[in-house]
Amino acid sequence: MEQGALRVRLTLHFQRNPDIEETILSAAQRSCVPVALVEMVLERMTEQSILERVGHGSDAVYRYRRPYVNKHVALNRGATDR
Amino acid sequence: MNESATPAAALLALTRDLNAWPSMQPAQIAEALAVRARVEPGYSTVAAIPTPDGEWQMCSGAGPQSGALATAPLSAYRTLGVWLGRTGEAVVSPDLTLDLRLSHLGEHGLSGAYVAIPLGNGGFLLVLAEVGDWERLQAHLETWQAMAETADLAIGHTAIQRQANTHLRNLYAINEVSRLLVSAADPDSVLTLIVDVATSLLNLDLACVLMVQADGARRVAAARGLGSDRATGLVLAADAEVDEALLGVSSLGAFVTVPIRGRQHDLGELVAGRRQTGFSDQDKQLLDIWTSLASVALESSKAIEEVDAAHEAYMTLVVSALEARSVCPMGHAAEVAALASAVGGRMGLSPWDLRELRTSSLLHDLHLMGLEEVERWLAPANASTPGEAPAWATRLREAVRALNAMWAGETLSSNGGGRWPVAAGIVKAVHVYLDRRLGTPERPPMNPVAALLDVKALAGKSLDPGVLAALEAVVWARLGVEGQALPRRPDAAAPALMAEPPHQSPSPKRPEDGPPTRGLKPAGLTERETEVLNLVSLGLSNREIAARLYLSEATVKTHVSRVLQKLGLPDRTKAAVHALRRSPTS
Repeated sequence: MEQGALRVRLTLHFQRNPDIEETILSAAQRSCVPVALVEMVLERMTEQSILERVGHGSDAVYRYRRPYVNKHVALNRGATDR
Repeated sequence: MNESATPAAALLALTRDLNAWPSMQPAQIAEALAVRARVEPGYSTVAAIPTPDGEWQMCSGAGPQSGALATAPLSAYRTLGVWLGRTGEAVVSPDLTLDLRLSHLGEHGLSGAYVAIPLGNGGFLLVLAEVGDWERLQAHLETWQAMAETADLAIGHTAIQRQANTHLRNLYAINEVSRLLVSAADPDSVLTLIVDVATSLLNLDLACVLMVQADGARRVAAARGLGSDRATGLVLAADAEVDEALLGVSSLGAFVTVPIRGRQHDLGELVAGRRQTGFSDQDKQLLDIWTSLASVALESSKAIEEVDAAHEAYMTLVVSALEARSVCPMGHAAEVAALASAVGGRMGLSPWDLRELRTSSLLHDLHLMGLEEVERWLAPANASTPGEAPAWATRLREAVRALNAMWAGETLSSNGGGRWPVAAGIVKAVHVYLDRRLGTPERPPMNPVAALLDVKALAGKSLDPGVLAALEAVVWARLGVEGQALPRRPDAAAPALMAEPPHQSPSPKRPEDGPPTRGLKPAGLTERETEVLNLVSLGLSNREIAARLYLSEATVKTHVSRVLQKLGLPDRTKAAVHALRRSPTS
């Protein structure tokens, strides 16, 4: 599987399950892709701040980080604040 | 046969190889080049190509020394005038022929004269001959250059194919995700999806949604990337001056701004940034498609919010009507819904499932209407047969039937599986727990430990053990003693959670009692403060207490502060323990 497609798939997985914690191995098993590829993708997602990593190596655990969302912004021009 | 009879035949053979297998990968093309480049028996060949991740791949050709050439360390090649860097460039010395014995490759048992032909994609072809074949090497130089150009064209073609395939996959991914985007239930989910999918799909280091406000100013609605601190800093700065703030992000190598166009006017823009690489035309095309979908979702999310608000108001009316028929106090449905949502959250239910769980919890007494009444209420006036009832009415009828079955004592497994039993199992466990905890006309209230033990006795029978484990965790968390193990008997519980023996006989709650007033009134507390204290002992938050007592959150906060002050207690956990100790049912 290509890295981009795997990034999207894992992003949606973590987003739907914001409290889940995955190791490299568990994410690889869940995605049915090689461990080395998952490790590379999880590291990149950590750089992108989609995930945060706790620990190192095979013991490392990855968690979802919610993006910044401003609740005081009107989504439609002229609409009132949410 | 590895070597061809003549240089011209070798070039022709390579061309045939490449045409025969159009799906060859770059490494296979380089290997074919190296093999066909061995135009004389005494030669050994190798080809090297850069890989997408910046490494080098050595492709063995043919000849007695080709294996050693392919396995020699890359550092040794640097003395050949071929500089192998990690940047994807192989710089070949203008003087292409050198005596191999003078190079570090000699240390690896390789000897002879060689010629290195650069490939346009950054790799090279190396042909090694016995010493003394210097002139013959020079004679074949043009042939090898022609072969290298042919191989290079083929490698370039695979790159174009790969790029096209990636683009196609990305378009497919956008198509898949678009359904999620359009069906997202609230603006936060829409904004989160926009920045997250843009970041992961396009491998961004920054994704930022700016929305145009009524006064024409742009404000940051959502941002992802550059680490949380930097993103937050950017957001704060961007609210003031977006352009200056973005330009001030010095670590971004490139960024593009794509407008998010609404049906009538521009809604805002998506800013995408990368630290190192720039943006190709295909990247910009993907961003255009993504922002088009985003604009639809953003415009509809506001409408969905309004529909949700109307639905919430309607739900409140239905719940009030149901509670008027129930023996439970007003606010009971909201209490079940709050605790059930907390249990569902602990079980990891998705936001959508939590939404359904909340609705199920609020309407869990729907069976009080009776199935016949529901049928009459929901059936359209002009329906001549039950089959003409609308789909939502059918669903509601099924829900009432399921509720009747649930309260009749059916086990979860007999309900047929699917999503409904999960919600039903949670609602039932929460309801049974609250019955024990708050008491009923037939049963006196219990302290949390006794209530949990009583409910857990039903595990595996009529209640789901997984749901009960989550319920236990939520109750402990609300009491501020998260992670504590449930004792086997109520009197073996942690002292802080166990109440002292009752000072007077318990008075079971009757329907006309209104909100629960389990604790005795501590000295010095007003009626209202006692009420607040009793609700604190249930583990309710200030917001939940405010909803129960129809007060503002600030007022509840003041009451809690006064209770703590009057009782000389440091925090609400101690206050809860205090109230439990005074509970007449302990």
